Amino acid sequence: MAANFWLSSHCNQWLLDREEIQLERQRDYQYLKEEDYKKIHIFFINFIQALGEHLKLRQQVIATATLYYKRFYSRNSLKSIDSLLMAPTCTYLAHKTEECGVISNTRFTAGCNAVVKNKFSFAFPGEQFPYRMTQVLECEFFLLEMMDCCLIVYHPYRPLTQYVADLGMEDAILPIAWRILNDSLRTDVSLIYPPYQIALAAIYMACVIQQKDSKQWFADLSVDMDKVLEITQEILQLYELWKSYDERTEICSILSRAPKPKVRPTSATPGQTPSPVPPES
Amino acid sequence: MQKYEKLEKIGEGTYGTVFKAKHKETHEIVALKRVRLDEDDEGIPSSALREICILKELKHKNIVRLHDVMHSERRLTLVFEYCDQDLKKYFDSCQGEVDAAVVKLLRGLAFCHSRNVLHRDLKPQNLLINKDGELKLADFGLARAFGIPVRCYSAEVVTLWYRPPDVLMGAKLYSTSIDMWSAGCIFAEMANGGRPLFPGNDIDDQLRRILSPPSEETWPNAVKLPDYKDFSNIQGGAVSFAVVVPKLSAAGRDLLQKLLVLNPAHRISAEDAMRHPFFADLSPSFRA
Ligand SMILES: Nc1ncnc2c1ncn2[C@@H]1O[C@H](COP(=O)(O)OP(=O)(O)OP(=O)(O)O)[C@@H](O)[C@H]1O
Ligand SMILES: [Mg+2]
Repeated sequence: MAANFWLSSHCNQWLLDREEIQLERQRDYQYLKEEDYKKIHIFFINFIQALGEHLKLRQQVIATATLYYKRFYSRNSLKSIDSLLMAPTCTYLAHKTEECGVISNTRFTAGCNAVVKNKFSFAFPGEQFPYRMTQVLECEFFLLEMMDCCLIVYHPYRPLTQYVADLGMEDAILPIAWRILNDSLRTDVSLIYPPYQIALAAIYMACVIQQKDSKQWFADLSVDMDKVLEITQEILQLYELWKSYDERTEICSILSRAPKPKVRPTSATPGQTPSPVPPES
Repeated sequence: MQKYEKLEKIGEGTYGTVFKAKHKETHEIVALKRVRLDEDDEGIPSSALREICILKELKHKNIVRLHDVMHSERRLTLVFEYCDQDLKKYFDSCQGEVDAAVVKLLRGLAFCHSRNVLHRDLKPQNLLINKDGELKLADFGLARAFGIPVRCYSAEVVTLWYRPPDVLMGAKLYSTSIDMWSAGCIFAEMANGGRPLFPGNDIDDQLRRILSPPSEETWPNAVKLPDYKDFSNIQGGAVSFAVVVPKLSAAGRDLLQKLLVLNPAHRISAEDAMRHPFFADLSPSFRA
């Protein structure tokens, strides 16, 4: 598997520079503080997670959807396509590429509606999911095209279980490290670092939390510890952000400041709008 | 769509029509596979998605190159490198050269397998030959990456005639061995000038053609397969390869025998098959 990763489009086309990502975001930073920009993506990744769980998708599929989402907005402004359309579209595409059984269109849109109403009404008070399946399918193609058809992605979960087995501290480390990986989906690490390094960062953090000594084990691995620590830093920043932030009360006003596509359907007229604006090419 | 001028229809597949076409500016000749998108359907069909994402990862001279994917209203178009014919049509026009064609097939397969991809639908119609005589694996609509263990693969894989006995008897978890059996069938078909080796009419007929009398020692796990068929009363004795492929050399028959092993666990791998003495006469560059 590892050998495959090094030859994959994920490794060769989709490990991005932090600077490159920041540069793309300048357009959106005209409207939003960097912190708020982050909060918007965290919010929609929470949306993907909730929708995935509602549709009973495996965590692997949810992680794939999240990475598609991150890839899209690493190259496009929030203005290009409404995140509320992109987030479910990523989930839809991921469920097909990961081949986990077909979800009917009706079940899928019902899922989107349920999640908007039951889980995120604090962000969309009184609204329903404003898009139709035709728009999701149209958006699916923009997504595919923007990713240059690179749909096979690698995640840190597998390397994590392998490393932890080698480390021999399954019970103490695995559940915590796994949760850290889930959280890390809300950062940029999956856009920047290879999955095995992210897995190691999660183990490193879990060892600190559990007060397990893994110094020698890390030393024997001869990995680039600087990278592992960079990843750790980025995940810690997320935890720092969470400490002083209440999504339920704050996201509405942040969303209202976000740059938006020219058209956005309202709940009064679901689907009665022109196509979403394609990404600027 | 306007980028290409359609020249002629060259094939009809289960999920689309294939055209020969010319790029209007560069005059490059390509093959366009057009996939209809139904209004209230699943969007991009999963077979097309599989083909797109797998070909994106597999760049090799023995695997058909996907140049581009285009989208217009209700239609998805995959742009492939053009090949003059598929192996089915090629059989009629050529004789000999079986070893060179087979080694290219094996080389393409070895590459797929090294990247953890199973083709799962090998048959002459899905093997293309370009104008330089290079053979290319095509039609990855059923292929899948097997890196991530999946509990259950889709049941319908591999056209009946090229389906291995374990899959015919309901094996759910299979590996690269599935492609190796198909490669064996295609090899024999080439050696016989295009006559299919096991042209069964249905699953039972297919099994009857394939199976030699049972052997507890060589394939002890067969009885555990979900659709296990007791074939102890099958007459005919072990397939004699001298009769089945009379034109093939002894070395060729030996290789065929290793590809057509009933027990999937003992079927030869693509990597090993490429090193078989049958290919000894080919220049080493063939086997690289
Ligand atoms: N790149 C190409 N160059 C030349 N001919 C091609 C090319 N791709 C496909 N063809 C022709 O079109 C036929 C159908 O293509 P393909 O097998 O990819 O479609 P399909 O829809 O998956 O078909 P099926 O599922 O029935 O096998 C092939 O058997 C071949 O004859
Ligand atoms: Mg075909």
